[in-house]
Amino acid sequence: MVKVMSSGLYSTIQDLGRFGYRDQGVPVSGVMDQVAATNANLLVGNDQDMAVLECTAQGPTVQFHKSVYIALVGGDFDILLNDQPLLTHQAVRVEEGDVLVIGRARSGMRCYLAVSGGFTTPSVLNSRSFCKGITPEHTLAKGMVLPIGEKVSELPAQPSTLPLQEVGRTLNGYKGPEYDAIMDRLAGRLTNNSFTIAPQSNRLAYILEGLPPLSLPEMNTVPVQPGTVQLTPSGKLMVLMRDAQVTGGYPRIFQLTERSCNLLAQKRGGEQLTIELEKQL
Amino acid sequence: MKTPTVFLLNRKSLLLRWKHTSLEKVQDTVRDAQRQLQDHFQDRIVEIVLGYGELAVYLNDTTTARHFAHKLKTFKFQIQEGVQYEQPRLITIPVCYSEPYALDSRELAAHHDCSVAALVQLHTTPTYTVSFLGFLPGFPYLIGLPNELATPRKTTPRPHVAAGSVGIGGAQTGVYTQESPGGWHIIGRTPVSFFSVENSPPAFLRAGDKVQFKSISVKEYEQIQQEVQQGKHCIETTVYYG
Repeated sequence: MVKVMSSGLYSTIQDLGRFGYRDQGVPVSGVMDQVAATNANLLVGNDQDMAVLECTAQGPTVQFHKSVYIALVGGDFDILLNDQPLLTHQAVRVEEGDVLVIGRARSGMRCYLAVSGGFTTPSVLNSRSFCKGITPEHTLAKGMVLPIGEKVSELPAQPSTLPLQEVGRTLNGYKGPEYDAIMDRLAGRLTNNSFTIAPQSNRLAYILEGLPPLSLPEMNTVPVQPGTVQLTPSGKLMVLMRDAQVTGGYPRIFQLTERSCNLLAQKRGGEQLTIELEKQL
Repeated sequence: MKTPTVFLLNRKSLLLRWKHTSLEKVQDTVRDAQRQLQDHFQDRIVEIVLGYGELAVYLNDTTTARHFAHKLKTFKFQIQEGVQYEQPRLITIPVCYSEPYALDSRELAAHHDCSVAALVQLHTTPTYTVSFLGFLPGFPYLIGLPNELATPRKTTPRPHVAAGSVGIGGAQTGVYTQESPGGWHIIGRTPVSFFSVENSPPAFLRAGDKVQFKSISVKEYEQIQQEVQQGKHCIETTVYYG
């Protein structure tokens, strides 16, 4: 098991999401950057859907009460193992009593800690992903104990060359259901525009600023999902992330590609982005 | 049943949309379509989410949206509009419309130029229909609010609305199933809980259910609240013969 000594800014346990309950209003949840989280799992010989620890901007400090392999993948965080800088993006053996300090993110927004055997906090509705109103806890807290599964597989003998994370400043999206109806109002201002990420962006939604307020047609409530880009009357784009609600009432102008969802998960408030329309689905 | 138009959302999901003039009627169609798709394509569909006049199909790893859209071209929806497969349930929700739970009732009554009692009377009269669940776990979108009660949302949402709060937002009414921020006008609170991960299914209400609100006193509210905490309370449910 792993003991949480300090919680970090917004640290959670996540797997690849909660499926089968969306029609009851339950968010999907799951890791924000699937590429990074999956790679962290593969490095320690886990299945890719095992639960990992997601750190946001400032990570937690944890102590290991068991010898395991760990791997950290994702944004570039200051990381110390027993006061010594630790190399990321590779499997490292930690011993009982070792203390891991995941500090501030120098670049990127989220990094993932995988442990061999995976974190085995309670599975609720088929997933271990923390979610407010679903799991008993929704963020890590000081003193919390995180159980670890029995190691089942060996470390991969020759770690494959993994794509570390998505890079770039362009989001790609398919046309959303309301794209055509909205486009004449915006006359090209969506795709030839630079958007700034608002600081309150989080696991529910990223807010992109860069359009003036505008009047929009009234909409009925309709299905939305992670990656759906909604346009609000204040001129902000609301990009739904993994903890988003399952229905929404604003025009859906884009659906981001999975790659772009993972890319956006590593961006922070103040960063600038452009959006490009993906022609082929 | 009318044939829906199909819109591909991404590689793993698509929308089916029905043209409509009446929300109530089209939701019968949307629900029937959901059942048929789930029965017929259970090996391809992970889940289906309903909205007004449309449904989203989320597919598993072995099926692409393009391929599924192709399959849908030859799929015949069987159900005729208006034919019901099972008798819907009628659920009675006890609501205390008094202080301290009726946060916005006075303001709302003034807005509609009526008394708070008249407002409660209007809200407890109709039989509402659950269109679908969304927004929060177990949160029902209800159709059937009297036009006289339709009110634009609050200009500034509350940061915290208590679980059980009953609200009016636009032409809709509903129950906050958990504490959350919210922009609806709060007119009362129910002591009953509509979502628990301990239950199977976790959401008590489901699309197609009929709902009535019953006015209760503060004393009754506290009594039911106690029963709920002890796990002794049963939500009043009968068969709806509308």
